[in-house]
Amino acid sequence: MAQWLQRLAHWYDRRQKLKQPWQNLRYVAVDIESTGLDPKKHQILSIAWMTIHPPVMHYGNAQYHVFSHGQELELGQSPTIHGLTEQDFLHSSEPKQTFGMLSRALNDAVLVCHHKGMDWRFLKYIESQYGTSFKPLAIFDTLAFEKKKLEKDPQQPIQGGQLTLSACRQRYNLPDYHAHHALTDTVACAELFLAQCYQARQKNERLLTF
Amino acid sequence: MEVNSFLKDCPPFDTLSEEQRSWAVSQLQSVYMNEQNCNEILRDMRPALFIVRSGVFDLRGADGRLVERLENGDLFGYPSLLSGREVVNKLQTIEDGIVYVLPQSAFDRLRNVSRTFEQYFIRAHGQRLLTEQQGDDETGSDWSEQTIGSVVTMPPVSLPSDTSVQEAAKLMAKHGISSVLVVDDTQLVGILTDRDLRNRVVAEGLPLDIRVSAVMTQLPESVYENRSLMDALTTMTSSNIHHLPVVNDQNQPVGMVTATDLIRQQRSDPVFLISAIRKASSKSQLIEEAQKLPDYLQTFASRVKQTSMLGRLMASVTDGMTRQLIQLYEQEHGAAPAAYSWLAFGSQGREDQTLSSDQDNGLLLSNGLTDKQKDWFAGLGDYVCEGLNECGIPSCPGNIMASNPDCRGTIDQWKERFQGWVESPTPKALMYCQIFFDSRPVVGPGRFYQQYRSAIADLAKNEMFLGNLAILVNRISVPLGLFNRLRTEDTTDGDTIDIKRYGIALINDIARIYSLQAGITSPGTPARLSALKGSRLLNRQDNQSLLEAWQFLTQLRLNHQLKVWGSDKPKNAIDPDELSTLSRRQLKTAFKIIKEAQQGVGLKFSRQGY
Repeated sequence: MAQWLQRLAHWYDRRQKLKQPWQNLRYVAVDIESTGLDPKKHQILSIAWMTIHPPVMHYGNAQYHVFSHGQELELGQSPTIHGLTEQDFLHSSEPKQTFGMLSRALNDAVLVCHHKGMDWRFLKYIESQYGTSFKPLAIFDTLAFEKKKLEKDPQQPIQGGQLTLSACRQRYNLPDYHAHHALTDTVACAELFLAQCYQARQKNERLLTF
Repeated sequence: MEVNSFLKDCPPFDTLSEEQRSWAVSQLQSVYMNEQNCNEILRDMRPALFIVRSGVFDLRGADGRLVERLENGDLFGYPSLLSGREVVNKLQTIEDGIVYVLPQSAFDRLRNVSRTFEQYFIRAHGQRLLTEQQGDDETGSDWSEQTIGSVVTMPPVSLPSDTSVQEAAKLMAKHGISSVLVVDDTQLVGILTDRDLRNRVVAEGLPLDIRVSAVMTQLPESVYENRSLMDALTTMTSSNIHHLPVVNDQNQPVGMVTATDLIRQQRSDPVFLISAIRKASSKSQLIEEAQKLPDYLQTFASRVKQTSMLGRLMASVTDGMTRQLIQLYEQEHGAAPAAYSWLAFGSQGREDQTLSSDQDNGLLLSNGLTDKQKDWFAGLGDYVCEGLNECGIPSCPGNIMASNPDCRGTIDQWKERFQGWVESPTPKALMYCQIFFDSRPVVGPGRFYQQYRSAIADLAKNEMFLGNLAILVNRISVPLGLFNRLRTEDTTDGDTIDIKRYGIALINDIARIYSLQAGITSPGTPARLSALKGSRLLNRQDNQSLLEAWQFLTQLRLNHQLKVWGSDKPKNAIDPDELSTLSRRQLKTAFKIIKEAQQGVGLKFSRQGY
């Protein structure tokens, strides 16, 4: 019973917070690079996150962590795709501590990522593995947002490749970055998020999804 | 990380160490800027250094006037960081984008740890951006800029002019030298060489007790010790001498520099080229040597920092070819029947010649020549101009060449021509003036030329004429758009800017107008600007700015020409998108300076004003 009430209180609290103008909220952009798509089979190579107080992105305290996974690391893809070299793994972070930091960062913040399905799936798996919980106020998926926007024009069916991070960014005239480094992709995603929000606000579009 | 590599290419961050740059990134914030939030951001985050990563923004003054259009790689906000004054400028967003923000505390720390970083902003603040060099290759010192004093190590061997030639010869033998300075009362009065002893004493059968003053070369060419080796080189080639006395500011001799000394500087390829040209004993041999010029320049350019030197070098080489061709002509047709001067005009005259410059030359003749004598000079004109063309200096499409009878004349005939141009300044006449007023003698007695040049200088001091030149200068509009944006021309080679027509030539024109007004007869733009220091019409700062803009543009043009040499790409058209961020900023600054100088000339010289 008490637990149920607590949940209700939390839900109410969240709802109140999300009623504020979107610029007043804190956002955390996250990107995960892994050896594959399945959290059970594949491993996280690196993770990065950065806090956003619209319109400011805080580069200074952006986090970037690499995991070595002891001996178990299996590189499903070539590691160079993620811009990682052996050297990087020498400075690897301790997973439990790192995810603890991320968990605290996400408290009372909206998680921002490009393709929620993938990143959220990994975060959920981490929760079960390390006992950390990720409780963002909401999730903003820049890919889903873009997809919805493109779908509004039925004349123009969405083509493959149109929803990649760099293709989305191009439509907002954002600069070209070298993709597939967790920190660069985090910054890229954060910028895309701000571009989407500021441009949509002019049209009064609904921004957040739960 | 992305931002790190961006800053690596964004002056002055490129001058920071890897460690300093990473630290700067850790202090950085980034904002998404658009029309709704840009002024809020400016208000809330300043004082700070703002770095545009993407998007387009207009910086406007309190009165709404556009100060600058900001794009990828542009910086703003630093004047208030440096001066501590309140900023009144406002921003207007043309296109949303990402802007990096470096807070004051971080900016100050970087200023403290890096002098070049601080220097950059102080220069930029004072519009002194043009002297900034791309900070990557500081390897090796530039020999051509080395002072003459630094290679003259031996104290000068000298003797008074009343010494006997035998005593002089003994002294030279003792020191193992091929020339000796003749000095009376600490002043250099002459030079005596092995050759003089051979040709003027022994061959003539003169007694050995004759005084040196009777056979020495009087008042020889000399150079100041604080000038550059390039100056020594050009003086030697222009006077066709191997021994050059070096004097200090008080005109007291401090030593001697020889062609061998210059060659000993190992890296002085141009000396080899020039001496090879001088040794060519036939036209075909000369042409063969001349064909090596672009290669020489290519390797030479990679080693000199001040590439405006190369304009002088090109002119020196062209002078050398001209002299050699004249000698070859004389071998076939006998010596000149009368005194004359071979004149270089235009870029050769100004010594800002490039690989693609064409010929501009003429002949100054003595009075009272017979038809036969005139034919000798006509033949000389044809022979030399044709020869230069074969050596790779293209014929002048406007036919300003000594092969054209109009370009061969006595002082009075030239005066008449100039008078015509000055008094009825048709567009064609004014165009001629922009070429013919920039002259230099290549061959011939100096006094003869000076007589001509001062007569011409007097003609130019004509208010209406100068006014017309000023109007002409203002007809050409500098390629800066409404928003101080570089304006390119859509050509088949992409969007480019002709930096000769819209840059270098305009500065040449502006410097010429001030010089004509002041009666300055030196042809080169840097020399003219230097002579104009202290002029009431052109203040010192504008003078310096013009010089820096000129040097920057000639350097940019040379680098471009060396890059496209051998291809059919245009030799003066620059694509701003291919420039580094620093060069692009500098190009804008240069055009701003030219635009202001243009207006200045318009106001000062033409009654209409512009």
